[in-house]
Amino acid sequence: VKLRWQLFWLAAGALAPVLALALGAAFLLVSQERETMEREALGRARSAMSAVDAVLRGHFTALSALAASKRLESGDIRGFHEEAKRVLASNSNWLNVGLATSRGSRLMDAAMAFGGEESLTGDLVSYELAVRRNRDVVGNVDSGAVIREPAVRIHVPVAYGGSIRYVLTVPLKPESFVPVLRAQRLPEDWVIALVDRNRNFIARIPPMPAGQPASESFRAHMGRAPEGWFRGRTVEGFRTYTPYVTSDLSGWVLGIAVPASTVEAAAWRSAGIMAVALIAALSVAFWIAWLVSKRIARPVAALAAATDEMGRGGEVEFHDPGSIEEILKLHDALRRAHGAIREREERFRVMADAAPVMVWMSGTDKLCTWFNKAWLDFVGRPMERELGNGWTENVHPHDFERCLQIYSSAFDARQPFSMEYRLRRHDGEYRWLRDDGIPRFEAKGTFAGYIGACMDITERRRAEEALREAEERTRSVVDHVVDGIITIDESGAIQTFNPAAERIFGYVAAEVIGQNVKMLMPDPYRREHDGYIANYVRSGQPKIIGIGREVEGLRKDGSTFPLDLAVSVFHLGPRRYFTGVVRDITERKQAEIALREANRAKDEFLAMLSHELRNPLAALTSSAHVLKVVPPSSADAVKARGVVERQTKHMTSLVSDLLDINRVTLGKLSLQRERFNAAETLFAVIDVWRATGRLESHMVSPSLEPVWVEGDRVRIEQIASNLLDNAIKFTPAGKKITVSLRREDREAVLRVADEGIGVAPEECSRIFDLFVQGNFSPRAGGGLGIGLALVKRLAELHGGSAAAASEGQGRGMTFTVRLPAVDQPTVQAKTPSVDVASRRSILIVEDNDDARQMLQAILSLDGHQVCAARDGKSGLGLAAETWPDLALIDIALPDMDGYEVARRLRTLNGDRRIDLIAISAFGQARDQRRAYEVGFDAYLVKPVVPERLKQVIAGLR
Amino acid sequence: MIILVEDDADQRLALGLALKAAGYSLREAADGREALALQRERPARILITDLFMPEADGLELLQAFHREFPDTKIVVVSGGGKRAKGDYLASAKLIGADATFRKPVEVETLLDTLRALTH
Repeated sequence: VKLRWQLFWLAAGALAPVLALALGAAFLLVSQERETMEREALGRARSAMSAVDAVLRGHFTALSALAASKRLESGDIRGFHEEAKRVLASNSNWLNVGLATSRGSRLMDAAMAFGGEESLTGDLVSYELAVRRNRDVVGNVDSGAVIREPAVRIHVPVAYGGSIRYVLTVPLKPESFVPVLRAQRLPEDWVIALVDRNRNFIARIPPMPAGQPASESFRAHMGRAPEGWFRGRTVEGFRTYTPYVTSDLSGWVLGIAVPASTVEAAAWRSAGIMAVALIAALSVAFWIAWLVSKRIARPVAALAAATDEMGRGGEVEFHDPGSIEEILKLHDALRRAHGAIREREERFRVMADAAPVMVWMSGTDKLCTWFNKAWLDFVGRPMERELGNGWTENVHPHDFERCLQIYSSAFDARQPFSMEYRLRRHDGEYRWLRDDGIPRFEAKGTFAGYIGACMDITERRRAEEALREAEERTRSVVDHVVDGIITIDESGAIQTFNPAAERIFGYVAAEVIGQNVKMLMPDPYRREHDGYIANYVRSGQPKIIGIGREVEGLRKDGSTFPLDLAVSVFHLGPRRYFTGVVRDITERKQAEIALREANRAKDEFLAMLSHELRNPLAALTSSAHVLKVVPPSSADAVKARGVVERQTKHMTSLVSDLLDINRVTLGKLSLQRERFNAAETLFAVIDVWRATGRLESHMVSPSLEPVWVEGDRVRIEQIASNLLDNAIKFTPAGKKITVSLRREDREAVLRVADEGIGVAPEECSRIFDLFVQGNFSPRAGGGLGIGLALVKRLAELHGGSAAAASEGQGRGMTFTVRLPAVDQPTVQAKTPSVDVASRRSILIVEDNDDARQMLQAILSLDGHQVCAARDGKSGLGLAAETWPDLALIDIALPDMDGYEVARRLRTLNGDRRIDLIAISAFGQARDQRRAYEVGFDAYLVKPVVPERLKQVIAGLR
Repeated sequence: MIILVEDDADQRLALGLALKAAGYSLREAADGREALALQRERPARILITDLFMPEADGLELLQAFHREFPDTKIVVVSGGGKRAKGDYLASAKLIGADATFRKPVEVETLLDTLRALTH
């Protein structure tokens, strides 16, 4: 509602009671005026009626005078007629003078000739009234028998002596009353009428025929009161106010009808004046209101506009505030507020611009309305380009959609948001920003848009990334390292427990986190641990920190185990933490024990080797001395030679075993496979042993079935020899040794069972280990402890196996060797053997005299033609003389090597066949291969075993 | 008169032959118990013994001999311990051996020693 209307209604409200009073006064005035007029009209009516009564009284007086006629009294009717005729003539308003008896008989009429007696006619009512009441009576308008025109009759009774004799009646002309009415001088539009008791007009101005009924309203109101007034219509139909009066004398009514228009005109006039006054007053009120409102509203509107502008942040102008004090105060307050806002805005701007963060604001339409200096400096663009959605031009295209989506949805929900995106810096580089926006609300909670702050988090992101990577690396290390890593705090509570620790201790991390690390330790570590930590925390003296230590751990299942523990300390803020790196060294411990065991075995082996080599050497030394000092053919010499032969063989077998085990261990032993009857081979071995007397102190009983195998005959012999040797060594003299061979399914099974010292059953598997021997016996029978190892490996090399069984110490031992069996060949191959009959011409080239002589002796004894040379050159010379068909050549010769000798022999012999056998101290595969390449047919490793030599020679044939 | 104690038959035989060839009369034993029996039966001037023999440990034999026959010269010829523990020859000397040799010993050297001991 506008101020001017407020003011207007205020003024109008103030005027209202005044107007109401004025209206009331006017109404009073109008009604008074109407009453005055009525009173005046009524007065006039009364005076008019008085005049009418006076006229009537004049007529009565005149008639009464006639009544006093003597003639009448005397009954001289005739004379009276004459008299009456004269009186009638003098009264122009009298139409007749009639005389009737009190009984109603007509006596005479002055207007007519005397005579006749007739009944009365005309107004008999009034006549009878006059008779009955004996007084003068006025009648109503009526037409009579004599006077045939309308007239009003007056009756005067004539009494003599108190009794009525006659009645005099005079009909009066109605018009005779018109002058009386006219004498009232009423205005022309007024109506005055005289009405008889029957409500018929007697006289009227303007005129109406006498005897005509009065108007309906007149007739209705007359008779209610002797006098009064009513509003009605005239016979002509005009609206009137009519005061009326009734005459006591005649009972006639006289009314003066005043036209309604005349009466109401005054009221209308008053109303008109009031209306004008009202309009004038309202106009004045409105004008004042307008004036006043103008004085208030204009400065207020100006201040409102200024405030609006202030709100928009634009330039504010304060116009003249006028002179109203309150507005002046408002003006001043606004000016101060403006100043304060300006200052605050300035402060905000300075602050926002100085802030290291980039600040932006947006309006309720999501469009940005402001950016601080930091933002503008960052993007290197002016404010205008950034406003609205301009800023999004610098957002990285990959981030744009996501960014806008977060912003829009947060905006629509009026929720704070936080997002990270890349924004192009002024130098073109995209930098990561973190943008936090919150909705702004005005004091009353009206949403006003958003304000946001951005920070360049590129470096932080990089740092975080690097940190994450470092953490990931560390975690990867911690999670995958084989060492358990456990972190505890100063109270000993476990903080971290890596997967390796879980594996080592059997707990999952969740079970131990927060528990005291003591739970992972058996006593005494468990008891002492709190003390360790407390002592370190108190004294700072590390006992274990920085030093690796071997301690014991306790697994979840209650088992303990050795572990290496290294502890380091680190600080996080004021708190101290300890990191323990633990390694389960059970295996290492076992390995150490095994290593120590192996080392001990090796040492023992070396001692054994030394012992085992010294013994035959001792025998050999003694024998050599004997052979030197006794005649060669003496019995002692024979014995000594026997010793030499046996001990040489023994040493040879020792050295062979050593070489063999080395080759087997290195996987360099190759088998020279052939198909043969293993039983025959075993018989041969036992025969040789028997022949050399080695079985003489035991009861050896072979039980051999023919079983064919495919393998290296020499190695099978070796297996048998070693088992026999072992059995003899550990079986007391006189006890039984059983050697059996039989076929079981697809296997050839060799068993050597003794009644010897045996071993504990649990040691049976270890018995095949290298260098293990003798532990089981207080009297080790010699040997290097490699014989059984060789048996097992040779058996395995043949695709078989070796096993040992014993029922315990002192209860004997059974060795079982299983080899794949093959079917007997259809044509049995001739067993190579030394055939004395097949003599050969053999050349020996060997620089070692002993060896040469031994070879020469062995081969000569077999019946071969043998010649020998001590070096390559003489050897070649001999070959040219003797043309041998077989040559044994030592590889290591003083003048040229065996390979060279072999080549020259081949050249020398041309197409002539010559078999070449190399003799070498080197048993390596490399040497053998070279020998074969040069043209050797066979390769023997020193010392040459006679049996083997014979086999080889036989095989070359 | 020499008693030769050696468990290995070939060694016993060979050394025995050598000693006989050098003119010593000789009795042989395969172990300590046998040797003690021989000695008690007829004491010898010289005992040549291996240290490790079956039945009685060579050192025990030495002690017994030394106690029972303090005049008998004792020569120890050892092949070395099987278990590489300690120096048995040194121990033997402490117990009372007059000479110790490590196998193999040159017979000439042994004979020289014997000669020296019997003079």
